[in-house]
Amino acid sequence: MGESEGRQSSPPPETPAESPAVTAVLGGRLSLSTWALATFDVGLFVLVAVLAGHASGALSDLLGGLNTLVGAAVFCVVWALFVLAVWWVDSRVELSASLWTLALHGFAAGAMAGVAFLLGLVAVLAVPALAEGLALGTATLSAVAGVALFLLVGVAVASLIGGAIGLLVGVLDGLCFRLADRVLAASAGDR
Amino acid sequence: MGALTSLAMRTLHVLTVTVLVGGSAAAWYGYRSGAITDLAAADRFEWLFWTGIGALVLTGVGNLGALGPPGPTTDWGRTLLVKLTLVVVLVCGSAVRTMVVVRAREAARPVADEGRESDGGPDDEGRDSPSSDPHRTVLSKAYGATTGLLLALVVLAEVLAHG
Repeated sequence: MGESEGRQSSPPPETPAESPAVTAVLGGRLSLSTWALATFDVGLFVLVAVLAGHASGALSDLLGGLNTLVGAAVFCVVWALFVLAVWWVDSRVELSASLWTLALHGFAAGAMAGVAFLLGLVAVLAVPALAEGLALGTATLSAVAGVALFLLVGVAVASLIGGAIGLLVGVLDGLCFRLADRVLAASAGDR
Repeated sequence: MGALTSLAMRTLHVLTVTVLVGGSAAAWYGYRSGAITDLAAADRFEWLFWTGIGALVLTGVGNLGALGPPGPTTDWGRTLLVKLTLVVVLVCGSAVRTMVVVRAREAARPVADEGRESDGGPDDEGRDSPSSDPHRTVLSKAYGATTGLLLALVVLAEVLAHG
């Protein structure tokens, strides 16, 4: 997973065509392919979830209990995590690398993103309540231990779920790249 | 507050679709007629397109939450199912289209860069951008298909909103 594996050799590296806003955030290293693939991945992830929810008839109940602004904030966080994960993979391997390599890097990036999401949730939801409880003396040490145990199990589960999503995303991105090359080759053949 | 948020979501949703339909139609016409002769325009539009797709998914799910969609067995539910499936097709096809733009730029860049220094900055793109000539047909077809799909989605959205 380290740098020793390096970016696999392929055609000349893309000259980054960056949007000034995102350039400011990621130090000029966010390329169009990273932005597009990350948004494609998060969009597809949400759309498939919504489609499945709608087809099963559970969508109304699922969305009904969600505050619009909270939902928007969660989506933005997930979007940012996808961008960081795809950027992490793109900075280590070319999309022309084998699908297996992309899948493994995707798994690692997805696992990290999953853990980051969980830690963010705990930081926003559990930590303030726990801190307030400890300050007021209403929370016991066993409550703290409970949160710690939840974190331990949660990190394992979140990394597995995130990793599985990352693995699929890595393969999907690689397939898009290969399909684009085929389209260009077919277009060149037609001329 | 809730009603205002829903209105803001719907407004952003409609405005984003307007930008995407207009942008992809302009790109289709530009590459088809030869009015656009470089790949920088496609590159710029792809940044805008994917930002718009992110905003569309966000506001679309927000709208569904505010509406409380009926089950999939109703007419409305079936139309929504078709619309969501078309959005998946649009997103998947657009990912390939964007990679075509990225790969075409990569392939053209060494030729365009020959004999000059380039810092690759944003201001550098407009000047001496790789010519789109070898890829005009595929780009016009890709943006044409994108425009068609987006228009079909607009029609489905009208059906969902007004029956």
